[in-house]
Amino acid sequence: MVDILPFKRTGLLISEIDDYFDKVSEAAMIVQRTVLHYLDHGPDEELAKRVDQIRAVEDRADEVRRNIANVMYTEMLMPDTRGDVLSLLNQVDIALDNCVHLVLGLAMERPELPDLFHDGFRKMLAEVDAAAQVMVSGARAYFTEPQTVRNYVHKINFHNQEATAIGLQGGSLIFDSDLPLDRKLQLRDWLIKVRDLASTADDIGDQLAILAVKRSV
Amino acid sequence: MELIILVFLSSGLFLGWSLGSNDAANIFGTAVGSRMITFTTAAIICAVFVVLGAVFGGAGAAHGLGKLGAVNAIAGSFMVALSAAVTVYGMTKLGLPVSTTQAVVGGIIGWNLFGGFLTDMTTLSKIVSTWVLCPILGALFAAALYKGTIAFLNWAKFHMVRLDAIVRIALLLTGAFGAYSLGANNIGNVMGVFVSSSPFQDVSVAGLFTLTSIQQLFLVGGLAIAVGVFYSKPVMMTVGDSILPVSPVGAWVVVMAQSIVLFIFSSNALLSFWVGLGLPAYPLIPVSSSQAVIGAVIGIGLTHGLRGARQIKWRVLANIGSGWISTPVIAAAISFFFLFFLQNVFQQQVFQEVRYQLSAPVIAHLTEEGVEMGPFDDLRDAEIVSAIAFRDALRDRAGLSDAEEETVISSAEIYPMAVSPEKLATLDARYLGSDRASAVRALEAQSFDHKWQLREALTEASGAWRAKEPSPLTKAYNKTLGDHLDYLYRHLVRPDA
Repeated sequence: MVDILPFKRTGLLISEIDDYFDKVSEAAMIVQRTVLHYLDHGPDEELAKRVDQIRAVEDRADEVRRNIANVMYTEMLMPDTRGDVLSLLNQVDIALDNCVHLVLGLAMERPELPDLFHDGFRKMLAEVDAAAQVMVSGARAYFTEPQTVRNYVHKINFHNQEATAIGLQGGSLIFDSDLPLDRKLQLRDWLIKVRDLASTADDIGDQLAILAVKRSV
Repeated sequence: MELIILVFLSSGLFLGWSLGSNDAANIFGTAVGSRMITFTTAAIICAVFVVLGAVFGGAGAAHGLGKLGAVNAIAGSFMVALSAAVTVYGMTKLGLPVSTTQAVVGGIIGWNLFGGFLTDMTTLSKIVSTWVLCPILGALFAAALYKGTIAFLNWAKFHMVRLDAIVRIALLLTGAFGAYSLGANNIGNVMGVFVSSSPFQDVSVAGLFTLTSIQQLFLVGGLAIAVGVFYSKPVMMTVGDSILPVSPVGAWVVVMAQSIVLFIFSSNALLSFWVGLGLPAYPLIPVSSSQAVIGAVIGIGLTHGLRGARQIKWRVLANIGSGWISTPVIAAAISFFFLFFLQNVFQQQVFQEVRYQLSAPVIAHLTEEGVEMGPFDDLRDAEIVSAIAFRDALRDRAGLSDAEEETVISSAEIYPMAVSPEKLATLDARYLGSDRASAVRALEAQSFDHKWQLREALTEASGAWRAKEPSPLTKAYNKTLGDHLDYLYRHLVRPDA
């Protein structure tokens, strides 16, 4: 008889979905702030604070996501789109995990990033953050205006391509430098790690496009 | 309470059960099929509102007697109801949504054939036309409503979760309303024939309100429908999922489109309003909710063009369509076959013979109506049993138009009635209204051999019994007048004659 009172958890569920996307957006911003600060100041106390901050964000996001899934299944909400919504949230969770791993990795490895490559990292961070923020907006739009999702997907795709182009330039610059090979490989890995955030956002964009079409059918 | 009444009542209860197990699918099929409402919730809500509709909304059917009113012996009614119930039960087992009304009409046709009664071809052709018209209208309304709803939702930009809640509430409300209407409209088919022999007495419920014997009878019928609802899952899944998987919004559109079709083609008030606006009148025809629902599901599929058409499972649809054609045929065959058994093996009177006579008053009346009676001189005063024999005798002598033939047959039917003090004491004056009841009382101690004689006497006694010039605006008035006359014929009949 749970479906007799469908409004009981509606408001709460909507605010939890919003809360989840807030956390994802926050995580992307933390990544940008952390790396920019790292470029300017290296591994200092601020980095440790950021690690705590992003872990708290991840914990909260995981709790909210589990709760959303639990409510949707136990109260049998949105029977036709429930599976799609949970699959979307799971994929967004991968993006969130990537953000967390990037900050944690930075704190663990503390790589040395020569000034020569700072500009490339800054440009790429801008594109990655833009891709992540547009991805979050697109995911929110899927719940309210699925017909506008296409616009967001197009923008995510653009930012991902820009990030990839910057990554290629940065990679060439790294391997043209006089750094030893192990440093070159470490820098290249970091470049790829940052770029992958945009790539994951792009994958989510592709899924959003399909889900939005499904909703309109 | 006579035991035999209870035995005969059982077929009505079986028909109620069959109706519940088939027609509940029209109301909640798409909601359950799209998994927006669980079957148990749908069944509970449907059952509760069906009973409420039958008890509190079914009063109008009490005197109308439904379609079974034409059957003039209770054993015949039993068999007509049983044949319809068996047919609907079989179709339910196959998971096919069928029209219970059609099954009942099939049963009546079987009874007509068995008893030598004429089948009203006008009504029959209307029913056949609804097989084509009703799904088309359902499809058109559903397509328009679906497009409109999608446009509104795009404009309103509800959150997906909120939309889910809104659609769920809408499905429950429209479903509850549909269940109430189902109970109110169909209880006449299920229990109407037992009204005159209701075994119950009026009871006061805690001094708050009185449940009349008819309401108790309808409560029993409503409960039979309600029990049937819990067996409707196979048909619900056919309607809700097998033809075309519909979205939750689509599920709501289907229920609404069906309700709109039924409302438009059964509402005198809407037609009067329509004509009052100076718009052309449309005919009020009996339409089937089963067919409207199937049409609506297809309509939604077709809004997606060829892609939607490919998604429709045409094989399932063909099965349903064949069910619509076979339902009345099977019901008629079962009815005919078992009436024979009931009459010859169980020695039950399954119909009362109806006699026809061209007596002097009848000939005078028909001549006044403009029918040339010369060719029928040799039939004067001869009593002919069965409408078919009488019609054949007329046709052997002259070629009358269909309307003239119908007038001659209905005028010649011997239907003895007496306005006795006992009959006047039990007259339902509240149903007839004070003017019409007074006119009936003014005829005390008179007797009549034909229905038209009573009608003419009533018309002379009071203007309240006069029919109005036929037009869409007066249709409702004339229909009520006809129902009142039918009630009076049955009430005043002399069964001994």
